Amino acid sequence: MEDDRSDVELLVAAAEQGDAGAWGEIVDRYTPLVVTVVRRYRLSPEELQDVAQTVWLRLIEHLGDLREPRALPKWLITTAKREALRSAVALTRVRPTDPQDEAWESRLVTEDDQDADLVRSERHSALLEGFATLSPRQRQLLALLSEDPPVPYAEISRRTGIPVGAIGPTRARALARLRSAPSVQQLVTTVGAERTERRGS
Amino acid sequence: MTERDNDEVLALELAEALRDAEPHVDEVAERAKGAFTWRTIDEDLLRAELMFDSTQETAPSLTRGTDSGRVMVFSAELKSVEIEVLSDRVVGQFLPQSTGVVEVEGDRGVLASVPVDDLGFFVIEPVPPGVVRLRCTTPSTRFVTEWVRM
Repeated sequence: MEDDRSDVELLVAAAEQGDAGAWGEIVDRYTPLVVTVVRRYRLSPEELQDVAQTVWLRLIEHLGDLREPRALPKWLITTAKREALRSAVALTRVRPTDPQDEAWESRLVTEDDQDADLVRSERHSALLEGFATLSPRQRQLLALLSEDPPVPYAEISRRTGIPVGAIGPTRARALARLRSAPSVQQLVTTVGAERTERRGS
Repeated sequence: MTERDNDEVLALELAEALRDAEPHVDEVAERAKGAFTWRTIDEDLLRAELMFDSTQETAPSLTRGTDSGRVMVFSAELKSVEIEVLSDRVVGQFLPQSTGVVEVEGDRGVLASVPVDDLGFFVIEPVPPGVVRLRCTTPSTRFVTEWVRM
């Protein structure tokens, strides 16, 4: 995992020096995570785009003073939450009693089934934070395999350049790496427990 | 319970997460990449932070009527710019009062440039769309506000 983290540091340093390729890689890695965090606030698609863009514009300004580039995912999550909340409040003209009050925030985020929704969103964030540590090819493969309806292996092979016979093993390696990401490690225990429970019943 | 079982569960949940984000991802990423050109022109520029936003107020204001617009104040050191977003325009003032120029920057370039009179007042018409910031220039200083949606 140390490699991935220093990888992030290198990307941040290169982007700060003006390397558009490094910036593009940062954006590609973390956009699903940013979108997932902002989605929770039920903004219109246009507002979601503007909030996400605000997050990236802020990051461009702060590339030079990110005290700890390894903390980039946390910085993105925090900034995305703050900007999405600001936007949601400005749009609804809701007057919070205290914007830092989490109970209030969760009311705004979702009205129905809010606990389940919040848990689901947090789990998705953790998985996508892990997803960002994968190589571009691994990310592309897992994204294609996630499509619904499923993309045929022959088509996946054509688009990724991975031979059909190697898709399974490549996928297994990508998933193993995903599982070893710190943010995902915290989830694995929970998943195991849930499954064991279900089997027992 | 094998790691392989765990991985299959993770794969299903990851697929769900990716599918939820998917409709927005391409556009978000494309716009973010396009915005990178901004980094070069910002070096050494004073940044004015958003210090006050009437839409985020914790209590209903007693002094403002319900028909007034959203008020935002950005400050950098001792300079500040206060703006009020009305339905058809944005009115603003530099404090301390000073003549100058305000440029409205969107994520793809300058949208408008408006003069500031000697009392520090300026008007931006119409209200700029999307994510913007104000680049403020007076005879003695230059600063840029945070990015906001008006």
